[in-house]
Amino acid sequence: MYNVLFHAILLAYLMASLLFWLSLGLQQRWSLLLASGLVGGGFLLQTIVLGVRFYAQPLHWWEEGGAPLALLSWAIIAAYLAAVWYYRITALGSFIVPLAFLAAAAAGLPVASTVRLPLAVQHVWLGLHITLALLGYAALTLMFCSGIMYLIQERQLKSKRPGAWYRYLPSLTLLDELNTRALVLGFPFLTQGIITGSVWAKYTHGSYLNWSLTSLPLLLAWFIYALLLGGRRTLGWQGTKAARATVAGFVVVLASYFVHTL
Amino acid sequence: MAIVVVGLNHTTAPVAVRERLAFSDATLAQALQQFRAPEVQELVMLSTCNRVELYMHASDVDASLASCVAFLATCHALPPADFTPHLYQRHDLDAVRHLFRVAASLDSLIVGEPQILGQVKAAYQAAQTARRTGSLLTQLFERALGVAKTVRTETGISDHAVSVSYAAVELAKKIFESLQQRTVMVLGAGETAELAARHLVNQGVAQVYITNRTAERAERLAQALQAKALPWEAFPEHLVYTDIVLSSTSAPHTIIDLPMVREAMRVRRGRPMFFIDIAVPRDIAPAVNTLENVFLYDVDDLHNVVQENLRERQREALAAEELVWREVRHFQQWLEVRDAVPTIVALRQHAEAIRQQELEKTLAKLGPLAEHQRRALEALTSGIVNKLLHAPTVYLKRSSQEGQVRDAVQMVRHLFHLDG
Repeated sequence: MYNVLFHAILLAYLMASLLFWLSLGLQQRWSLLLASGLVGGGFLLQTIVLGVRFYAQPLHWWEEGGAPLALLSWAIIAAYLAAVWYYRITALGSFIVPLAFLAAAAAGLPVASTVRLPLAVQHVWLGLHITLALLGYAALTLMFCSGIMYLIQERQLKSKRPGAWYRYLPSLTLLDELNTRALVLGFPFLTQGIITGSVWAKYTHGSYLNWSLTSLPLLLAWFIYALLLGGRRTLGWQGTKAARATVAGFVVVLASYFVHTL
Repeated sequence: MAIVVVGLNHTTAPVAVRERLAFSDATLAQALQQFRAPEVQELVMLSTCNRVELYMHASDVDASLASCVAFLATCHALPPADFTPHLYQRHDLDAVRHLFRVAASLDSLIVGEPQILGQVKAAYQAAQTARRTGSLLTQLFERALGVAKTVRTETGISDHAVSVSYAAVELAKKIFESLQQRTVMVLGAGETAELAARHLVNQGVAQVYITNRTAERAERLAQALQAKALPWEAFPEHLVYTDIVLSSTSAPHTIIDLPMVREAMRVRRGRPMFFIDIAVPRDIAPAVNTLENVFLYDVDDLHNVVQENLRERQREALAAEELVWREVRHFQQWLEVRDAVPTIVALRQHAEAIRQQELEKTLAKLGPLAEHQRRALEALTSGIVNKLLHAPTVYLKRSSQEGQVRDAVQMVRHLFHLDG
């Protein structure tokens, strides 16, 4: 049953991704509407599946291989839906939905070991902590996409040959605003991830700094957030510079994740 | 029985002819009442600055053309020879397609311009008020308005600016999203500067500053645009507070250079700036465009954008033409079903008349009958008639779906002797 649902979710996100890219060429409303419908349907299904799994095993469900990635793809779509709700940037789907699809697909890959935690740290709020930290990652993904879109639109405007991208993407100001908003909202999530993570590490490993699997990417992501926030506040990082920094930060976090898990 | 359009437009007639044939709102209402001809059953008159057209439901195509010419000549007191060479006439499906294209702005001087839809609607409403529309033109115009709306929502034919000033506004919106809280500085107080500035003012910018080498002209333009005049010497410092710079001076060399903008951007802490240079020779050093978060467009750049937008509209127009064709075919089907209906009715009446006649004859011969016997005879005759007429009725209806209604109607009328 889960298998069928899992594939249905994957298919919905994949079709939506393709349709979003098709919309760039077609520039027609129906393909965007259809893509948005697919994302919405996939998200609903994913919420139900994750909810049922959580309800069945409130303490262990996230220990299963792939659960964090499934949750991450869910969080990315949640962030996307929030951004579209608030800013009406439909073009965002072309960038962020494929990433959510990849995360969801990776969640289905067989993982060699499942994390077994000592009973002492198994607690419901741990699940909450992980969910919030993943929302922080989702915000980072959102920033990455808005950064990429900003850089494409900036190139279009600078080149003085505005083409299909110019028409498809929203204004620079809006993209920069989305970037800032995701940063400001995502930072507290990651901060709590760092704090609870280190407390947890103290319990399990006896040291605040010696953490479990996902710790290094989390720490890196937090530093990049802090750097960006500081840059924006004190150095006047705006527009292009902020967009470049966001993209670079995301790539670093992603790379550290791969290095860590492989 | 035909739909006929007679008229002229910007491609067939020079403005000198068009302006003499045009109707104002008041004269149009009058003309709708005055133009009466025996062969014209319904009438809609469309008069815009680019076209004068009469849409008619007429029983005779050639006679309706002659009536139109006579009417236009007397109405505007013109010799017919002055405008007849510029007239075109289309009938039936060509006329339908013509109206659909006009309403969808495919026949406009600037393809995709949005006003024409409102003008077609007004013309239709004027004709309705004058009680000159019947079922045919009502259906035709309702369909035309529907097609125009579909074309506008489903194709990008009306998107994208096709004038330099408006292209600049569109670019500004792709940088700043909304221009509502932006500050604009206009360098120069000439006519081009004013025209371009007006477009920005119409977007509701927060504040406009105008500066010019001769202060009086800046003051005058500032008053006209409800802006503030700025002394010429002050403009470099004022760049810091400005989001959009519109430059159109007659200076022989550049007046805004790279260091000036770099300094302003430093103080602005990188907030984006948009420079629009519509002066020839240029006012702003091209190198300004290399700065981060600074965008500079000169006249040639804006022309390129306009060209690209026009090409985009042309591409969209192709999709729109296809849509129009589809709708013309739908309308054709409607027309044909409409053509078949009178024949079906006539066929039924004809058969019913024969049945009644024969029934009466037989009843007279048989003498008094019981009620149930009478009813049995009625049922017998009706049954025979209905079964016999079933095949030709289905044939007529089906042929109208297949687009061969004319032949079918003729054949049925001939076979059953309906016209005799």
